[in-house]
Amino acid sequence: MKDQELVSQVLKGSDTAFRLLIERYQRLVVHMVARIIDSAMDREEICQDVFIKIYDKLSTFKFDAKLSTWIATIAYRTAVNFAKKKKIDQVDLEAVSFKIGAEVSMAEEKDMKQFIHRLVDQLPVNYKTVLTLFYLDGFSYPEIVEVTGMPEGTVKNYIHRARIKLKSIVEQYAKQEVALL
Amino acid sequence: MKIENWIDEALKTEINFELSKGFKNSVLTAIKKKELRSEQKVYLLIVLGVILMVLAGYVCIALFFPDLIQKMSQEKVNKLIPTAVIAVVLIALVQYLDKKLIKERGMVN
Repeated sequence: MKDQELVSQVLKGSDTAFRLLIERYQRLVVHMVARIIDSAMDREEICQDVFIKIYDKLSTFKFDAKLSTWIATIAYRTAVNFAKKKKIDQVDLEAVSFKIGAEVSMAEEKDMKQFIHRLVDQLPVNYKTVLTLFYLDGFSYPEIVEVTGMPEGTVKNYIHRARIKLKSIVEQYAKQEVALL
Repeated sequence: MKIENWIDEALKTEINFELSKGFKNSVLTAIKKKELRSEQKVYLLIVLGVILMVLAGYVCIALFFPDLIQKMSQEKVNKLIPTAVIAVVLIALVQYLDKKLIKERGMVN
């Protein structure tokens, strides 16, 4: 079922259609929420809030953008507002002091992925969001601009800076490990 | 180059978090509860509106036509009250049937 038909079915009051909508977009909503919020319980609650908002506002959606972009925008704003309420710090990338565990091996690819994931989790909210939308959800720059409200230059800059930062930490860590061997 | 690839792959790897199995049901239950609350609020406002209208009507009659109530025979008043009650019940019934038969048909489709 195409998005347009799905939306029209939901607007007619079909529960089955809304279940299908949740199924189709829960991965995207989880990505947005889980990147910003740490607590598993809060994540589930916020995801629920997001889908309630989607249901409430669906009649205002006129397909002037992709449904995924519209849903990601609601998820992003809901999660960011929650983070602000909980006073989750929004620091700059340079101000972040990355905590690096010692149990990672450069030889194990799985370990390395987890290590990078832990680094990504410690990035500032805006950086994490942009990286997630770009790499995990395959959003284009204009779509990320629409979701986050950031200028396109800032989006590109965040992706570039975050990658450089991650690379420098991984390189530093790799050198340390080689030195230890 | 290898590090770049690792970063790419890590960024494309799914986040380790899953919603509970009953997530869809809990969302729908929350929506139904919310709808019920707002529906109740609307009905309450309608009832309040009707009561206020009746009161306003009574006050107007009492202020501008004070003799009217006295002129009406007790017999007429006795006929008027059941008619008003039947009218209110009919309006409520139409509202209820409208919701049950027409709006809920949309839910099934």
